[in-house]
Amino acid sequence: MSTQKSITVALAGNPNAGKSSLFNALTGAHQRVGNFPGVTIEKHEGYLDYKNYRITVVDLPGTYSLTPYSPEEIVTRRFIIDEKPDVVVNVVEGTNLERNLMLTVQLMEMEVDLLVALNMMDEVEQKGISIDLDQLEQLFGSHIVPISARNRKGLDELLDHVISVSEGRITIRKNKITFSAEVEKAIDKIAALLARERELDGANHRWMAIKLLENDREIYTQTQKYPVWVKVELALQEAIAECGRLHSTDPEALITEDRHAFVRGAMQECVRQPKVARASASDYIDAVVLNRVLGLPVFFLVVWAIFQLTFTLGKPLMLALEYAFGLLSSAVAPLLPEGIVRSIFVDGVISGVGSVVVFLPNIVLLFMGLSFLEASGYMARAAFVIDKVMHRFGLHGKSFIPMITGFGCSIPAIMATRTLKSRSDRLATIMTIPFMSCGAKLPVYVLLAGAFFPPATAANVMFGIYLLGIVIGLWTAWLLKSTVLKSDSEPFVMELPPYRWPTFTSVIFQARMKAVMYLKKAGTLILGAVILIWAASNFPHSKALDAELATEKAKIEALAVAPEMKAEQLRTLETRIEASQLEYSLAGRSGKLLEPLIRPLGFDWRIGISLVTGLAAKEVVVSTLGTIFSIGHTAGETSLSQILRSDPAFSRATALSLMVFVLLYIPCVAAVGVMKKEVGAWKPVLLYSAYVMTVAWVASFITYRLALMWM
Amino acid sequence: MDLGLVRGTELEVLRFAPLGDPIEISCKGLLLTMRLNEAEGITVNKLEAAEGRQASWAGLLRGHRFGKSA
Repeated sequence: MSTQKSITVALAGNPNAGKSSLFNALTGAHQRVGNFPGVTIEKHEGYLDYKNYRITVVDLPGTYSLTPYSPEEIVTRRFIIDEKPDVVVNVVEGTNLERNLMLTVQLMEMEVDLLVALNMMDEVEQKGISIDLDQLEQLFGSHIVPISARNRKGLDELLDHVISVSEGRITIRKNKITFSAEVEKAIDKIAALLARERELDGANHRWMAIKLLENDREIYTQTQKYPVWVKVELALQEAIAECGRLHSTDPEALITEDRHAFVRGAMQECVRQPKVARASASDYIDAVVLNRVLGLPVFFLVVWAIFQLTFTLGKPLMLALEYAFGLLSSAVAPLLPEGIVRSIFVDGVISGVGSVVVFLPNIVLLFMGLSFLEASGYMARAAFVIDKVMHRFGLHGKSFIPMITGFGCSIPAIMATRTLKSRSDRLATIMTIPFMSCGAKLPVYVLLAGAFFPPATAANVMFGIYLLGIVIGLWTAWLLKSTVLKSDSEPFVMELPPYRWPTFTSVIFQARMKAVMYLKKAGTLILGAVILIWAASNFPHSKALDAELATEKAKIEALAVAPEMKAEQLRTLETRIEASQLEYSLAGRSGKLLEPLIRPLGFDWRIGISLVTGLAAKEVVVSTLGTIFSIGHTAGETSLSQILRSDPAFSRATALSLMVFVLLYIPCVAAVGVMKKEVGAWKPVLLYSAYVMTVAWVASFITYRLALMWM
Repeated sequence: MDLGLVRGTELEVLRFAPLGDPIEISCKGLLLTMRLNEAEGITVNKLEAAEGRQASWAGLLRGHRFGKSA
């Protein structure tokens, strides 16, 4: 209705305070995920219609504080200052009031229209904690609404309050907390100076002064451009000297301590906690899960379970999807005229869409598993257990699970790096993942190792290839973290949240979100690339070869031999023409063009072609080798591994070198697409691709030369 | 500091990770993790005798340059 009024609400709060549950409970299906400008932090926005109001809800990232030390904190601050939401709802975990109220105090300082949603009231009651809400409201000057987002209790009251605040029927008193005398003096002085600057009219001078005293980089650069800065800087130095003299500390620490003192005081006045032994169920679980002996086995068991869930359970679904797309192709094919149009639709579009969609089961299953781990509280503990190993390579404990997932498929693995908060940790992890041998590389190893080595050695060769990938991957991470990504390593100071049983809907919800995101953002890119590679392997199309096929076909048909013989000869003919067409196509030509470059690795142009088509998906290397090497062989009679073995272009050394190259060179276009999506820009992805190609070339060269010497 | 580690806070080291590096501490009913090199920034005074376990000790926090602000 046009009479509807609109209100914007921002949800702010600590991680694990239940912000997302409240957000989901409020907005249900009416939400979308975007990014905050300039950063890769997800912005969840949704709306609901309530009593003739359209309430837009923005879920800000979880933060403990409003310092500018992490992108989450900066995003939260900027959103509140720049977007000026009508109401800021601070979601506070009732069972962990003291720490949660630290953020409330800082929101108070911003002097926004603040409402406090006291969440998890069910747990508060269970634990026998009593909270004097009236007194707390008095101290903080904001209305406090007790809710339980999980049980959807108190939501209507919260919304009524939101409306009242935005209509001005409730005035938020915007209490100010009083800092130590020296700090207050400095705040007043600096605020007065800032008030003189006309361009800062309307800004919150007191808040800016506090932030300046807190050494806030952002506010520093913001204020530095004004002439008044000279005086402000002087006042700051004075304050620092004063605090040093009287308290032997700096204003920043003093301010934090004062906030803590305020919160502690409020806690003592308003909260009664029963004195019971603190040994809760969480502690008992931790005694086992984080045990010095059992910790690692439990961790590996969980990782193994996630891997099995994703890939063992995902495989039949993936095959089913592939089968369905096969059926679709054969159903559509007869409807279209034979020739180029049919080829575009069937081999290009349908198989292109198919190659995007086949990854869905893996993605959905992995993210169901991961969001279960995250919501249950185990994820932080898993990082705790394995951090030492990862930290040695400059990575974070949370990097481990995405890396392991990379052995199944890079795509969900790269998407899983979102659990990492620091951008540099995320980038390093993302760039490690393609070196983990994914499931699609396996058929290549099986073919080559099987063809050129006896079974017992073949297994060792494959193990060696996997190991080489891990070593180079970790080396890459270390290299990145000690050069370009040196700057900001995320400290490992984090909370181990109490164990909670995740709700089914939230787990499903997360998985659905990721699936949609993959299809929308990465899917289109992947589809385009797959069609491009298809076009490259089909165009230009040689008419002469078509004609040859027709005449030869006619010749065979005319032969007076048994029908089986005819069919046999036809198959041989078709394979030969198909291979010649591939050779004639753009992919074939680029394979030839590449030959001088890959000759030192022991590859001829035919291997070059399969490397080009392998960009679509690594297992395509096998099928292309199959097509192109079967020229001159009777199809069906000999297996591909026999053909390769008898081909003069192939030797053990070539096979080893090719395996190494397939392991290391640019991952499939799908992975590159997802990478671009997660990294956020093309430049690092392209640089990375160049790096990967160099590494692949050098490693294959060394392998080939060594193998020639030893075998 | 944002997580509540300021001057005068009591904390208890609960355990070391299986591989010995990050440690888990409890502070005001919260469980926190940190790496040893990050924990070095905390100065502690022994408050009580260790409660039976070799890994646990309690203390008062004095130096407070910590974690994110470092």
